Amino acid sequence: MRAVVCLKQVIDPLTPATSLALDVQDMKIRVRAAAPPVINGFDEQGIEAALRLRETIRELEIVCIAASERFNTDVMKRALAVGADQLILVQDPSLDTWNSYPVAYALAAAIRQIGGADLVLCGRQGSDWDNGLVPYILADLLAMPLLTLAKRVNIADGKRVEIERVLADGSMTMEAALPAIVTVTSELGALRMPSVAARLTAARKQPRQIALADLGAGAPPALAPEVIDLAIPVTGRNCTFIEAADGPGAGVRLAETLLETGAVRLGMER
Amino acid sequence: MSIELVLRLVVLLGAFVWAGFRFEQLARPLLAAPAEARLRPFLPRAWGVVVNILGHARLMRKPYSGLMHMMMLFGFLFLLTAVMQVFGEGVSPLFTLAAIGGRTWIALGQDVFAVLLLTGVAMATYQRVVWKPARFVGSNQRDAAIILSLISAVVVGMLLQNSCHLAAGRDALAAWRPVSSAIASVLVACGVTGAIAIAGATAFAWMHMLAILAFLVYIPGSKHLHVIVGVPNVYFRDLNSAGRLVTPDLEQPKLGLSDIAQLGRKQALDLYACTECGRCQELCPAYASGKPLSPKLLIMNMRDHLLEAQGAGGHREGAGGPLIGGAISEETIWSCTTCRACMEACPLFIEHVPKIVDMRRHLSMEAGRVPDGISGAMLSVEQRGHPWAGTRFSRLDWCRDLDVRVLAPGETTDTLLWVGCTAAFDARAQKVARALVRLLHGAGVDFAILGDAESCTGDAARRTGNDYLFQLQASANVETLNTRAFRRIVSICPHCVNTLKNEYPDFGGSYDVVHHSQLLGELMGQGHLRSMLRGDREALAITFHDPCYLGRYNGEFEAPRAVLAGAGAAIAEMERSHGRSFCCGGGGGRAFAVEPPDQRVNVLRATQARATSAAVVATACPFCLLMLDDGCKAVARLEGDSTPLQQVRDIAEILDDAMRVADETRAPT
Amino acid sequence: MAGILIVAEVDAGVLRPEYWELATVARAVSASIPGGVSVAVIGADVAAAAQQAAGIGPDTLHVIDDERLANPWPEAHAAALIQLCGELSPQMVLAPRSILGAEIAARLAVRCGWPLLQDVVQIEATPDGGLQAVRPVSGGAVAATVRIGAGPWVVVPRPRAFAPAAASAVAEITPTRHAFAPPPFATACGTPQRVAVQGLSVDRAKIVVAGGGGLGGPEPFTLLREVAALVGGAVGASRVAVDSGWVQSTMQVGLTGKTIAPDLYIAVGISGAIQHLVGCSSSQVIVAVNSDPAAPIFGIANYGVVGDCKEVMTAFRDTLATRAAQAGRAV
Repeated sequence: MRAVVCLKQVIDPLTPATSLALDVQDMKIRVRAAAPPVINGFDEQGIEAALRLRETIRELEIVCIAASERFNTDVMKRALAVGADQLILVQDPSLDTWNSYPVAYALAAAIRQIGGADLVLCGRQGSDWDNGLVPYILADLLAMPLLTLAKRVNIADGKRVEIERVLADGSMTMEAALPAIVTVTSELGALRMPSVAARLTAARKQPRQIALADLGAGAPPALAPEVIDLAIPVTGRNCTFIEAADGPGAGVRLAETLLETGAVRLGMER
Repeated sequence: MSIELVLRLVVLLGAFVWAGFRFEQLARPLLAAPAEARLRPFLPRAWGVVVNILGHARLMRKPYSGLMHMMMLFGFLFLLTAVMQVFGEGVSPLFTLAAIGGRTWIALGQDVFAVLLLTGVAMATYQRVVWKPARFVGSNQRDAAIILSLISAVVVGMLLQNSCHLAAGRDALAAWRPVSSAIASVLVACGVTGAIAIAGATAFAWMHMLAILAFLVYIPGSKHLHVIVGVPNVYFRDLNSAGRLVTPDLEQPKLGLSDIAQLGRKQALDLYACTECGRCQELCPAYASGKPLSPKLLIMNMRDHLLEAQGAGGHREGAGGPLIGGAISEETIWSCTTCRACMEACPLFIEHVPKIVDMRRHLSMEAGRVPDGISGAMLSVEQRGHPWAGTRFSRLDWCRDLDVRVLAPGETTDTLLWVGCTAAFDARAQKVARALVRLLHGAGVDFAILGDAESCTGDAARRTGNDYLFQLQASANVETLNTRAFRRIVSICPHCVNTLKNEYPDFGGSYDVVHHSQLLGELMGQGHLRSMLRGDREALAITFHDPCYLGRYNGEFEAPRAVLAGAGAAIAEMERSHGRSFCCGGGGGRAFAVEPPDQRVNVLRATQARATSAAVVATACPFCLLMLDDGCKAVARLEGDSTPLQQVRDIAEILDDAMRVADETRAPT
Repeated sequence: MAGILIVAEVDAGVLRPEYWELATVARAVSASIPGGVSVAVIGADVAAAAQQAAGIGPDTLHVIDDERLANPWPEAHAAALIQLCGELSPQMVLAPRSILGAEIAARLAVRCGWPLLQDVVQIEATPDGGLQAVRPVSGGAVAATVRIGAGPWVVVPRPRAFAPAAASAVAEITPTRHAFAPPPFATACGTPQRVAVQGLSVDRAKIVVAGGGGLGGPEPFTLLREVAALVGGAVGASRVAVDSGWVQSTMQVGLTGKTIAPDLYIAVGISGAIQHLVGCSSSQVIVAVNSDPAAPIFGIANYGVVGDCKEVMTAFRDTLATRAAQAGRAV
């Protein structure tokens, strides 16, 4: 049985705004200091879900696949260090995009090339562009059922996948026949720490590098909007102090301000 | 040959064989343990034995116990002459020490030291039975009682044997045995003379001998084993700088200590050497805060586990159950702040911290079981080179409006300011870095920083057992440092100072590293800053908290106090200061760990600081700053608003405040 | 052909609050998008919700009411929406950025091959018949302006980014009922296990009201709970508050607690030690109330109030309660 975990290499989401540099020529967000990227946190939880499955399904092969313009191999190798059997990196300049379609097409083609998968695990969304679209496109391309936002993943009889899906105010169980795609969410729990022995072994392993051209991925549709400007919001985190004569006055002003800006809506939240 | 002589020989031989067997059992794991290169250099090692064993240097820190131990040690040493007599006479009734003064000064000495020894026993008994200091909690009291009884029996047996001889009139040594003579005269007055006295002498001679033999047989299973292994344990003590942990080879099959059989020879010897005196426990901040760690119990439990493993199938891996999670709980292992108070206190130089770190290495690098807060911080070090994930700052934000040069590869500066992660990323600690920069500018020091090229030194990674991460950080930083030229490094963080100075030489980086307290002290000494001090200062009552990694680890206690005195502070010392300073709770990665609310070290330390009534708690370490700031607020809350909140400040901020020049960069950022 | 189709998500019998914000977006662009505004109400037993949805005065109201849509089952709800879009051919579909809404929007976009605009905070129609929108990326650190040519499009606005439209007097409109005719399902779902809003954990809530050492004791947390109930959020706490035994540790935010990223984080009496900021710095909007003007929390806050926490929050709660009562009368 094979589980494929789709990974994305992203800018560290905790990069402070002062370290971000906007390239409005190429419409790219870059990091000023030499801060390395990270594996998208939700995708790491996809690896964790696969590792947990392997605790009961011994023969589960875990293949991690990522598609990007270029990779920081040391960062991506964390997947091998924690226990993935294989890491496949699909590279192509066209993958340096915020458009989900080329990435999903590349991932789907890679999955087909390795002979398919019984289970495809994805993070719920990338922490950079937050599109969360890749799993849906993959489901379409691979013609697999899609179960989303799992905080628990289980495989029953080797034939069906069952998940516990999170809701805003609870959870519900869902299931589908394999092969299927499952997206995981943060409630699943963080990726485990690799042992040093595994890290050293992983350091000696090389990921399989595949050029997109060799996959025959097909041309993705041009469905993404075009980015025409990038800006660091000036309002972001520049504290506006609410001035008032006294404490109660400030409380009233604060309430009015939050209602006006829409930060607070009354009696309508769930 | 008399029957008694035969009997004596048999008993002697039997006792020797029995004791020999017991000692051999103890020696086996030691011999099987991997050797540590601790033989040379001879002279400093031997001198340490003289100072610490004969000179009682560490023991005398507690005068009562020190004096008591001195009387017992020297009494014991001198009464070895009586032991020789016993064993000699056991073999041949003609044996005598007369040729070397056995009938003159040795006789006198035996009488005198017997009294000293008994006084020591009496003091020890008083201490254990009446005084009962808390440091004995958890020690084996029965063992202590047996030992004290045996010592008494040996001494009393010898004295009464001699007294009976005198009472029988068969000994002409009355003048050389004043104590025995006095007892003899009482015996005579009671009618113990002639044949009764002779019979008594024989009986007490047996008592003396049997007590000695019992002692010999008992020692191997007792805390009194230190009479044998104390000397070698001091001789083989760690002579490296306190702040240097051994760099493990990461390619070895087992990383970290998970099986007692992995212990190095000196590390195993430590377990035998422990006297259960509890001086470590008394000073341990983790123990004081109610956590499961007591350095004494750690060593005792490891010793018991070693012996159990030995009994359960020789020196084989896994024998006697698991070390971690069995003999020692994971919680115990993570409780340590690596403050080193235990190691400084131990009269026999037992190395607690390296053992704890070694067990953490297993948990971190093999088992992958690290407490949440710590693992998150270490993941952040790995991913972004600092532990403060979530900071809104980059490494340069703290000094954007200050004139600070970033040293590029190939460039030169006199003093490289190693800012450290906390001072770069935490809004509170940034103020310390800013104060220091103003002082350096004022003193005209040529300095620069590494900016984005600086990365965590890896101190917390190493001390939480993640030596893999530490070695990555160390190698990267050494590479960065070696492409730039500077005379020396100054750092705000004692943890950085310690690692840069003591641990980076293993990675090809040997630098002259000073702490900012030392640099500021030096600048003041040269008069660079004195001329700028304001004249209208009021003496501020300040108490100073010694950071462990500045004081105990690197021996610097005076420089920060000199800076404070220079700034016009009147220093009120806390009960625990200097070498006995009480950790803030943030060392050894604990700054990132979950501290249970009722077990917080920083609150204990803040309570001690409050007892001085000083308005300001000064320190010289960013971790101490954050921990104590938090602790002081907690204490103020606990005591209600009636008591004012103590301010926690770094010495650089206090000195900066005392400067004449005011400028806008001083405004809160 | 319909112009704009608003997805009115019904959650446990009532319309989700984002519906009124979608109406605002629809009104803003409807002048440039011919075909009027339609509303799709999908679910089971949604008659009352459909009537409520009619409050914005749409041109047409479409309802798929089917037992199979009783649970928030993404595949079924997406099938219903796809079916409606096939029948109505809208130019723009507006869906709420809720767990279910965002999912059926994505399923629709991929199935129909329509571009998807996620997490939009500003939007306008361009003269050339396209759309231009602003959306936060990289966790809100960067605002990206994006443009797309001719529709149809699927647009998912960010909650609270647009003012809710006021409900006009209930319009007389007869819902068009559509029979649900889905293709075979590939997934199956069980019945949701829901927890009360009061029991919402800090890492799930969109709004978190958190208290710290500055509150001085456990009592003011009652005040924070009342505020949280008014705004539909959860109560969090700093380590100091947890350590002092005022509240349970499950509420803790920070390095040794939970890392959260709600839409609104109100930090009351929390100074903002770096260990705390780790857990909350990704929040969309941060409000800080503290008596110490030098507290580091103001360094990451969007709105700050320097003052006595109890005074400020009592007035804050009372104002919200008054407004809620007024709103209740108005509806």
